[in-house]
Amino acid sequence: MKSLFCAALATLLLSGCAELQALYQPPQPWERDLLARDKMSIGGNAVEAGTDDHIFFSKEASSIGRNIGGGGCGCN
Amino acid sequence: MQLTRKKSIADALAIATCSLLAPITENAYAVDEDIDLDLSFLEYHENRRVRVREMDVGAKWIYDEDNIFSGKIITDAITGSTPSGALTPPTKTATLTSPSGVSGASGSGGSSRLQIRPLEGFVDRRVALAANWERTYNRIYRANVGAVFSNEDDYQSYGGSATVAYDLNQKLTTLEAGIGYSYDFVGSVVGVHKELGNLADDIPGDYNDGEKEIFDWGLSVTQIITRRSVVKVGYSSGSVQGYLSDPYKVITLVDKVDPSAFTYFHEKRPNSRSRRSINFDFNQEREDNDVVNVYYRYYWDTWGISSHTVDARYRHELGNTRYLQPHVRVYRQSAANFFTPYLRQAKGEDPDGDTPPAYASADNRLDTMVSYTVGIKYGLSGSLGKFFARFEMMRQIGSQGDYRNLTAEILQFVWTLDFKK
Repeated sequence: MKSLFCAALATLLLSGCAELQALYQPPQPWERDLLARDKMSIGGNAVEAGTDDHIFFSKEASSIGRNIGGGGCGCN
Repeated sequence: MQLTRKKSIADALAIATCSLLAPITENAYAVDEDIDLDLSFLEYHENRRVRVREMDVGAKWIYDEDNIFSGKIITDAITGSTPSGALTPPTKTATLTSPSGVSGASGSGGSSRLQIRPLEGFVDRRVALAANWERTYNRIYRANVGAVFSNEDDYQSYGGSATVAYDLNQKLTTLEAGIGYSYDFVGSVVGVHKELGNLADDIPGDYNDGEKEIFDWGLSVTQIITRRSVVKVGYSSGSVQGYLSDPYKVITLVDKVDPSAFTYFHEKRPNSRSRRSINFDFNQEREDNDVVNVYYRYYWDTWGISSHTVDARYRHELGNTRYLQPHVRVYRQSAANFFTPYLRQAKGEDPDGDTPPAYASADNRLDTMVSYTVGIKYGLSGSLGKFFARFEMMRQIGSQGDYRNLTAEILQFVWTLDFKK
């Protein structure tokens, strides 16, 4: 009975995944126009992000996250 | 004969194709080549404390489709006063007998009176230079190497970083790995004295510069979800070794018998720190072209500090060339396990009981804290490039100490000029 239930559950999940996969249509290479614009870049504007990183780094105890490296500063 | 004929047609076609492609390729490179110049001015102002004015000039040169060079010069001047870590004394200025003239000391020699102010004035200037080269291979691999140098009146930093990125799954997925290293020299206008040493025992000229090494690495996955949404999940790790105390910070020892008798010590932090973070960044464009960005980071380290950061922006388009972007950030951190606003010991009862803890700091930045930032940004683009101005207000609320709370305003102007060739 238990194995029957597991099999039924697995079938349900697999069919659900298959349906989701059928529904999900990832953008094609020629459909990246919107994502290529500056406003969609992860991390936002680099100058603004760099400024914010420096301010929060100097005023808080947490530092790493979005960027790697960047050099030290005597402010903290 | 037929074969020969076929070959000659193929050759002719090839020659024709090449003759057509050559100028097109040249033109394509000419169009691709591009130089962007970023000019930034920042005014940062804390209520009755620090004021920073910063000027940045950055340039990005897209040399061709595979090579991008960029560089940046940052200059800033800091003035004002910052909490020294000392408790506010019962009288205007706490004093103790000192053999030396250090920060805030009046007079010199054995009879001088050392004055420690809870808010110490200072002036500092910084110049930083950064350079980067991004190289693309086969359109799916990207390597980025960078170097940075920063010089202040009392601090120098030499650093470098390298990242590699790999696009897969028809460029829907990007894997990225990076490392960063920096070697810093920590000085101070009063020198780096003995950690947890009594300020009254400082000997003029008897101090050294501190040194520290910073090493970070990270991994991330960026996934395009739909035509209008993208997500990035990352993990970062790092360690810092060396002199990690702040040479300007002191900590007050309050006598149990006479609470108005203050003794000041240089703070001391552990000489190593390992830190980790996981972060999540999500961008979604709505049907009306507005963009929502949500960022979350969880951070933790071996000093006992952990923090949550939530940052959200909403870019509202005002036509095709202008936009307005509100911003909210909430940050919460726990205290370092050696943070204490002051030291208390039975010095009066036990003259030999001067056994300070292994580490101690009264720096408010290591205290439990909640910080809120709200801001608004206005941007526009036109024939002169892109421009934005933003104003932010930050409010920090700590838990202990006289200077646990902080209010700051940030004003920034950024102008990006595009010199297409």
